Parts: sequence; structure tokens; C-alpha cells
Amino acid sequence: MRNVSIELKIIIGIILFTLFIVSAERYLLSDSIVNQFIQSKKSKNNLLIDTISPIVALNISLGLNNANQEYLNQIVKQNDDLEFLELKDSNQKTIYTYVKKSTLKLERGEGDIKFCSKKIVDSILNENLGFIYLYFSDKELQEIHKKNLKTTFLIFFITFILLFIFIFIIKREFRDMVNLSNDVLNYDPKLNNLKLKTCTRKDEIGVIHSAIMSMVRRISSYSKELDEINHSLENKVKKRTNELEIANKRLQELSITDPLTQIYNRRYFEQHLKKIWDIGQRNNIDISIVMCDIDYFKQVNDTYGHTIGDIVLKNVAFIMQSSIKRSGDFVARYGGEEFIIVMYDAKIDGAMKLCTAIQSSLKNSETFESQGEKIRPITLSFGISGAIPSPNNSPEQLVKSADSALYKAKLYGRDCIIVEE
Amino acid sequence: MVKFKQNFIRLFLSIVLMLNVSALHALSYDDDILNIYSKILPRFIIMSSIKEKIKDNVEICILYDDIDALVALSLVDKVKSNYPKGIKKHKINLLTTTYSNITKCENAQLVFMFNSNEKNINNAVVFSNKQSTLTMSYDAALLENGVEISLFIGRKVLPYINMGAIINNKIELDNLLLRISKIYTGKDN
Repeated sequence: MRNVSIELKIIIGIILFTLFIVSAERYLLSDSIVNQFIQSKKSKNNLLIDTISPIVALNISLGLNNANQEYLNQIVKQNDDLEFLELKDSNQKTIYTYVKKSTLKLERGEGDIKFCSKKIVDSILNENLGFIYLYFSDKELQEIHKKNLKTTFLIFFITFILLFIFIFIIKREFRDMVNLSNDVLNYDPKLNNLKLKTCTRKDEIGVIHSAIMSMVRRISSYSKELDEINHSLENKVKKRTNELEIANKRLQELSITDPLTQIYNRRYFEQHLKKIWDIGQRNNIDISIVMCDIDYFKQVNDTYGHTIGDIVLKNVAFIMQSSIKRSGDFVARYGGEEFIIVMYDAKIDGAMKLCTAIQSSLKNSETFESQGEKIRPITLSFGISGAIPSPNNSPEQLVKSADSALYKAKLYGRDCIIVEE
Repeated sequence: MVKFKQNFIRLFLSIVLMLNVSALHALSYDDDILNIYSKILPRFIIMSSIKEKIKDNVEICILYDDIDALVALSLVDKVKSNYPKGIKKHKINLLTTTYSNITKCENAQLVFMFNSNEKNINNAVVFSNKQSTLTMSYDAALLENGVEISLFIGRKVLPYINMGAIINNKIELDNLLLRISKIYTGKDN
């Protein structure tokens, strides 16, 4: 029921209500008219028979039979609806008969308005003088029924015409509402495309129209404000996002960079090695690892202090980073004074060359100094391992091999390159 | 004794009537009309203000000329035959007398007049009016002389009422009677 439009509900409601009222009124009125007619007819019939009977009685009692005949003929003439009149004496012998139609059927009619009979009594002697029977036509009643029917049809016809006019008016009234609804539905505050005509109506629709106009103006104003706020917010968000991205990048760098030497840390090394290991395994490409350690670094720390130790570490890291020429290779601080180089698509020879180049760069670099005092030359020990990644080996084994080679290099006197086969 | 006397008179008059040519006059009284009169007589008393004068019995006086004595008796018989038990618990006393003995009718509530000469009729009317008695005549022509009621005999037979005389004598008639009657308004009627 809630899905049915109010317009339809109003129209159906009014139609049903009107038809009910008109039908009830017609029924009650027709019924009342017919009842009143029946009562009046009965009353008239009774009045007639009450008028006739004493005169007839007197005439009979006076022996004025001709007068009775004459009188009854006169009665018959005066009453068009009288179809049958019979006067019988006390022995049921017919004294007078009048029959309007020979084919008359003497049947009891509606509300007993057709038949009327009375005993004729001599009012003075109280003797039964006979009976009088009257039979009336119900033509008038039928006429009333016909007239009622005709009036009912006319009233219903007028009612239907009025209802159609009413429906037309309601439809027209609601058309403004529907147009208003469509305009409101199509309204886009950003486009500000509501084209409402000025409404001159003062009724409820006019009030709604004014309210919507006012609302649209406010929405338009709020929409502008909201756009400005949104724009400002967007800029702020952009700025914040940019800052966040920078911070994230910085964080990421920090998380993978050694803070002292500014080269990759061990965590990045492990992640990166795993990645290139998988790539190498798919493409059957050689991967070499160079592990190196600063020789006698503990003595440098003990002798010149940790600050100098840190400078040494920085310089070594810089030299190593500078020595790497290929974009796929990278160096990371593995821990303490240990560094590690990962070389993608490089065999042992390539790694040897890199180590030699690092050694050369280190020797050719300026002498390290601490508070004007020269530090003895720094040397590096290298351990190299290489392999083509396969299910039979692992990056851990490769690192272990390189570590083993470095250990051997330390054993053989340092400042040398050992390859683990 | 009275009954014997009446029967004797009746027999005597019958013989006289048969012998007398003038007795043909009496034959003009119609038996049916007399029968109607016999029915009307007591009812007019009961259905008029004259009924207030009734003490015990309804008194009707029948005036006749000697020639109509038999018809008068015949009328008496008819009244008795039609009202054997009287009317409304009242016995009906019928007194027949000649015009010359009209004074006998002083207690009557109704005086019925057979035909007579004008003088007799006028005397009877004057006497009856003095007594406030209802007057009725066989001949409707006597209404002209002031008789109050008669019968109109035309295509139908109707009571014929001289309304002027009735009003003059301050007599009131029942509406029903007036409805079935013809009203006499004058000579030209």
C-alpha cells in the first residue's frame, strides 16, 4: 500500500467514498419515497373504503339500491386506479361489480396496497349488510420505481461527471508536484542545474515549491563552501602524502642503510641476495659473493680510538662502493669491519678483478691520518665464492663458503684474495 | 279492542275504496316507495337532532286523508316489518290519524304526510314546526309547503331535503344523511 502513489490513493478514496454516499443516499431516499407512497396509498385506499362503506351501508339500509349503483359508479369514475370493485350482500350475493380489465388478475401487491376490503355494517342496527372489495392498480408505484431508477441513473451520471472533473483537477494539481519532483531528482548541486520557475501559487504546493527553492539556494551555497574546503583538504592531503612518502622513503633507506658507512646493511643484503638468487635460479645465471674484512681493525681502534676506526670504516666503504661499476652489483656492511659484495651474472674471475681493483684503490688512496699522526696502511682480506643457483645449493651456503674463504685468507696472512671452490 | 277496530276500519275502507272511483287516487302510492319511506322514517329521527326528543319510544305520526287510510296502515305494517325490534333499543310507536286530528301528533318526533289539500298540509306543517317535529311527505311537491323531507324520484331514488325548512326549524341532520340526499332549494329545483 505504501508503494501506491498518494494521488492514486486520494482519487480511489474519493471515488469510493462518493459512490458509497451517493448509493446510500439514493437507496435510503428511494426506499423512503416508496414507503411514503405505500403508506399514502394505503391511507388513501382506507380513506376511500371508509368513506364508501357508511354511505353504501346507509343506502342499503334505506333500500336505495339505485342510489348505491349510482354512487359506486361515481366512485369508480373518480378513482382511476380502481380496477375492481365488488359489493356483496350479507349472503355473499353480488350486488354490484366493476371490473376495469377483463383479464385482470387479482393478486396481492407490494405492501398490500392493491387489495382493500371492508365489512358493511348498519351503524344503527349493528347488522351485517355485506362486504365491499376494492382492487387498485399499482401503476403509480411502478411509475415511482421507474422515476426512481431514472433519477438514480441521472444522479450517478452527474456524479461520474463531477468525479471526472475532480480527477482532472487532482491530476493537474499533482502535475506541478511531479514536475517539481523530477526537477529536484535531476538537480546536481555541482552543476547547479535546477531551473525552477517562480511559483505564484499560495497553496501547499506553493509552500513546498518555496521551501525547495530556499533549500536549493542553501545547498548551492553550502556546496561552494564544501568545494573550497575539499580543495584545501586535498592540497593538505597531497602535501602530507608527499611528506609521508619522503619520510617513508627515508625510513626505508634507513632501514636498509648502515648509518655509519651509508652503504646497505646486512638486512638489505639478505633480502637482496634472496631475490637475485631466485632470479638467477630461473635464468641459470652465476652469482658471486665477495666477503672482505679490514685487517687488524681492532688494533686501529685500540690505538687510535673508535672515531678513527669509524673513519676507516667509512673510507673503506666509500672505496668499495666506488669500485663497483655494474648496476646489478652492490656492497653492504655485513657486521663490524666485515663487508660483503654481491655480484649478479658474474663468475669468480669477475669477482677476483673487482677485489683486485678494490685493493688497488685502497693502496692508491691517501694515507689515513689521526690528529696529524699517520695511520699505518689499511689492507683487506677477501673471500670469494660463486655458484649457479639451483635446488641443490642455497644463498646461505654461498655466504658460508665466502666466509670460509675469508677465514682462510686471514690464516694465510691477510691482504690476500682466497676463492672457495 | 284497538286492533279489532283497526282491522274493521281496514276492511271497511277496502270495500269503500273498491267501490269508490275516487279510490283510484290511492293507487298512485307506489309500494316500493312506501317501503323506502318505511325504512327512512325512524332513521331520520335517529340521525337528526330530533333524537334528543325521544323519551322512551320513537313516536311517528302518519297523517292521511280518509281516502289514504289503508295506505297509511300499509306503511305502518312496513315499518313494523322492517324494524320488528325497534331502533337503537327504542320501540317504534306509529300513530295514524287524519289531518283533522293532527293534535294527536303533539308527542311525535316525526310527522309523515300523505297527500291532502293544501290547507291541511299547511296546517300540519305549521303544527309540526310549533312542536319542532320533523316533517316528511310522500309527495316531494309538498316540500314547497314547508315539509322538510321527502323522496326524490328520478333515475334513482334519493332522500329529498328541504334545507331551508330544516334550518328554520333548527334541526340538525347527520352528515351521512346529507351526503346521500338531494337538497331541495326551491320551487324551480
